Amino acid sequence: MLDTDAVSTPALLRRERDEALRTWGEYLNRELRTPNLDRRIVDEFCTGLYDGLVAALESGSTTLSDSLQGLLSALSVEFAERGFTPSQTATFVLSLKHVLNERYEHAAPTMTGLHKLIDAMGLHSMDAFIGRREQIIRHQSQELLDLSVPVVPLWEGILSLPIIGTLDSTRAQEITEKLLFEIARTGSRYAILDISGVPTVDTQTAQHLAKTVAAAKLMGAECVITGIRPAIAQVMVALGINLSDIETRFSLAEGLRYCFSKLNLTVRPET
Amino acid sequence: MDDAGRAIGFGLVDQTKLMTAASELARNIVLYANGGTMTIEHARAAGRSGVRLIFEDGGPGIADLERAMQDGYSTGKGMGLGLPGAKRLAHEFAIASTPGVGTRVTFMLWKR
Amino acid sequence: MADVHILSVDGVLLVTFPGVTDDRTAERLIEEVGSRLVERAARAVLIDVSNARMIDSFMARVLAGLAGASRLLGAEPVVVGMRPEVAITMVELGMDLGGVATALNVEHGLADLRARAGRRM
Repeated sequence: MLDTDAVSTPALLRRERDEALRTWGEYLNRELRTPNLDRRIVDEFCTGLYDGLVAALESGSTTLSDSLQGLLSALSVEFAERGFTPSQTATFVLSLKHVLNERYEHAAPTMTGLHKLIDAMGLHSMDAFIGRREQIIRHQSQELLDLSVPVVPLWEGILSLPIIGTLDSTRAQEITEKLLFEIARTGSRYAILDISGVPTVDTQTAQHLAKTVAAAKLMGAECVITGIRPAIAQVMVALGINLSDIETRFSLAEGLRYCFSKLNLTVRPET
Repeated sequence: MDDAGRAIGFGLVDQTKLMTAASELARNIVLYANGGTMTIEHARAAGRSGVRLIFEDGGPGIADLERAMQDGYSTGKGMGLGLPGAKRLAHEFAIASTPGVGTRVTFMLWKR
Repeated sequence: MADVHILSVDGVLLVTFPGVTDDRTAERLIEEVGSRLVERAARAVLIDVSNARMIDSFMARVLAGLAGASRLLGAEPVVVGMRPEVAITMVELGMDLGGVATALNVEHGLADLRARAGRRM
């Protein structure tokens, strides 16, 4: 049996460091089921967390030091990026409590401070894990949004923007911004907005299209809206939306023909 | 102003909207109330963050708020777009005015 | 007070619209453009707004005033180089330039003027 009464908890933990780390590593290996996680990474995190915990106990602090928080954040980010679950992440940290409990069962009262610290570590790792996951989700939805706003150069000075799917307010805003920045970046005088892939148009969407055209005009570019299906045209008329100031064409090809004519370009078959 | 928007991660467009609204409202105060104060706040609610601008003056106040919020209504120089324009740039907008006491305008723009 | 820059090239006045505009700058801007127009008998005025990080309704009114004054003095005004974020904000504010010609940058503006002059001849 271990003699825990004679020494303080940090000193004890320090003395039995290697043994405790080995037990913890084995426990994680058995319980965590993360075959694609490198053993060395596990060992590194274990060592860092263990030493950090001992240092915290020694200093008598009840809050986590910056370096310990940093290590926990790094661990959580690593786990979130590898697609591990929140419970796997929590298990990693909280299992230290379990391992120490088994070793020092009879010394439970002196372990209260230790438990509190490990709980705090678990909570911090959860916060960091969720934060990173949210970041990943935001990043992915931005990527999806970027993908769904493909501004394609059709010809020197002519951009096209095929809009596919329902245009809600956020997406309409993103589309407007992307198009206008691309107009400025490429110095394109014409932009064709093809809405043949848009199922329905409501008042707000139509107003947004009109605003996009107006903003492009202020910058010195002209927009042509193409692919207004008959059903949508009817809806727009019924809504009293005035597109008379805006150049519209039936198809993308007709829109391109219009831009060519404005740029004094002609397309004709070879003879 | 720039820093306030940048600190919470506004994009270029929202940053510009914030500056423009601040300019509209500040000009309003200078033109009609002979000056006042602007307070910038970093607002947080329900996981969102944003910038709140509060303009307060001890000027003559606005007798007919409804009319002042209409486009093209102006008693001085400008396009009469100051208040209604700033409102259109805002996610939340509030105005309270007491004739003879002063006016308080709150402009709020959330981060997208 | 911001500096007013006016260049005269080949019958065209190139005016740099200041990034920040107060009453005095605005007044001086319109005055100077007017006198240079008369002096040089310019046929067009390119107003470069690419320095403006924002255009509020006051600045928009100055811009419209500048365009109007140019027209009265027989020169065609063209507003060039408006930034995307400024254009979006102007539209959201409910402002426009009342049909003043626009171009993406100075080169585009000059090319447009040449094209229009060519058609008139």
